[in-house]
Amino acid sequence: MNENFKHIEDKLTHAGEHLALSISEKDAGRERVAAFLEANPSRVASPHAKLLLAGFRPVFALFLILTVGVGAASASEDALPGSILYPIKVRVIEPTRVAFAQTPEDRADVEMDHANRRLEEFARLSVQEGSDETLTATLAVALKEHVDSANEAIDEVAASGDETGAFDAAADLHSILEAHTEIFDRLEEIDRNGEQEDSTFGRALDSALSDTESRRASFEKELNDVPEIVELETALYEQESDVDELVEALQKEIKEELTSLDGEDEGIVSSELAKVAALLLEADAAKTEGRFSAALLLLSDANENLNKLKILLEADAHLGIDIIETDTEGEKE
Amino acid sequence: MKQGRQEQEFLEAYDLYADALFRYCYFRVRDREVARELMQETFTKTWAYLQTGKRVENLRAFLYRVAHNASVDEQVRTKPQSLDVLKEEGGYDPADEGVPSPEQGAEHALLMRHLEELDEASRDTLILRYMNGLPVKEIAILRKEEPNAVSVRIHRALKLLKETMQIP
Repeated sequence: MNENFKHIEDKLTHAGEHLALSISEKDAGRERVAAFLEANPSRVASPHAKLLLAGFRPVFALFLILTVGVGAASASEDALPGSILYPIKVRVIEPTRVAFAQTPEDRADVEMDHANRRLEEFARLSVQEGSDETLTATLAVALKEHVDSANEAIDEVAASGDETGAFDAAADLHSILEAHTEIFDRLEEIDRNGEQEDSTFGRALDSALSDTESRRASFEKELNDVPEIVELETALYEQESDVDELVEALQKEIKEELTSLDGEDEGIVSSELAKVAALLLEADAAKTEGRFSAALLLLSDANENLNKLKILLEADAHLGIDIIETDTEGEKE
Repeated sequence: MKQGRQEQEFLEAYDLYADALFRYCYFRVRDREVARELMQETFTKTWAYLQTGKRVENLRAFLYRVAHNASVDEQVRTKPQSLDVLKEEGGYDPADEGVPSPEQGAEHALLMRHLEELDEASRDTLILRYMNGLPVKEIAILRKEEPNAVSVRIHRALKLLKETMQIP
């Protein structure tokens, strides 16, 4: 509660507390509602219809997979827009993944992954075939849909009272969009030789990034109002585990998959990891001093940096263009 | 009365949200009896909606929306009773048994009069936030606004209220 407004906030809360139904009024209302329910017994849905429906989602999803065939489903994973397998990927496989997501957190993760896929597809298409207006417009629409769905799921997480979970998810989405904005800028630079061009996909990405930035900032502000220390400590523990997992996954990926990194890239990666290590140290100090919100924000920054680095490294390795170099040049300016 | 599981769950929702919805309706129509009617209507309408097989993602938010629509309809149907009239009739006395002293009743009436001077969106947001205890995120969903916009509105409305009530 803001000290400046504490008095007026107390007055409002107090006025609300004194406006309630009397026990007899509440009981009478309950009787009337119960009589209505008795006269109109449940046929299909319940207030928890969502949960009931969620129970059937995996069955429906399995049906879809079996209908198109497991082989085709698996082969479609790498399909690009315009290919014969792409509709299976976006109309069968991905809705199936959403259907399997039982909680808003899971749904946010899946939708973020789908947004990331659209962004990767755009980058791959741009490098392989140059831009195609129809395909990029379709990808722009799909990107907006996934980002909107992810945001809706994040809002549900927040509405359930999990402020830290909502902030984490918003930060993850932000890091994905920020990394791909850098990739997009680099691709534009190569494609247009530095000339500016109005791009449908670019506008969609800009709008998603700016929306996510303001939402992330708003969730960050809310974090300062989280009163329960236990909740913050739990979130801290989860965030620490996430960072550990991400560092481990990144190291493994660099060693086993991203073998095309040259000496300069490795130097940049080391410097980025050093920045992450500094953030972790700072977070640890804040945690020791009992500044849990600050520690959580620092860990979240570390997590975002790692996420972004991972996406940029993958793009650098798979697209055959020097993304990492662009990133650091941008930072130096 | 023998009830099924869904009926039981719905009545549990009544136990949880009846007071808050009554309060929400009261601040819009400013008539205790009408607010009680609207609160009950909110539950019966919601049950009827669920009977059609449609899904409700967030029951509390849905109930507030139904209550809001029912209150707006009521306001259109009948001119809302002004707070001056309420004051003339004995001040802020919506709870009958709720306000412990005449001093507090007068203080609440004053607060309500100043609240009434705010624009509708600000008044609604403050009522949802403080009198009904809804978190900013849920108000944002309800009002179809960004949480940021809700926070800013709350801040501005509190500032204005503090100034008009001349609270130091």
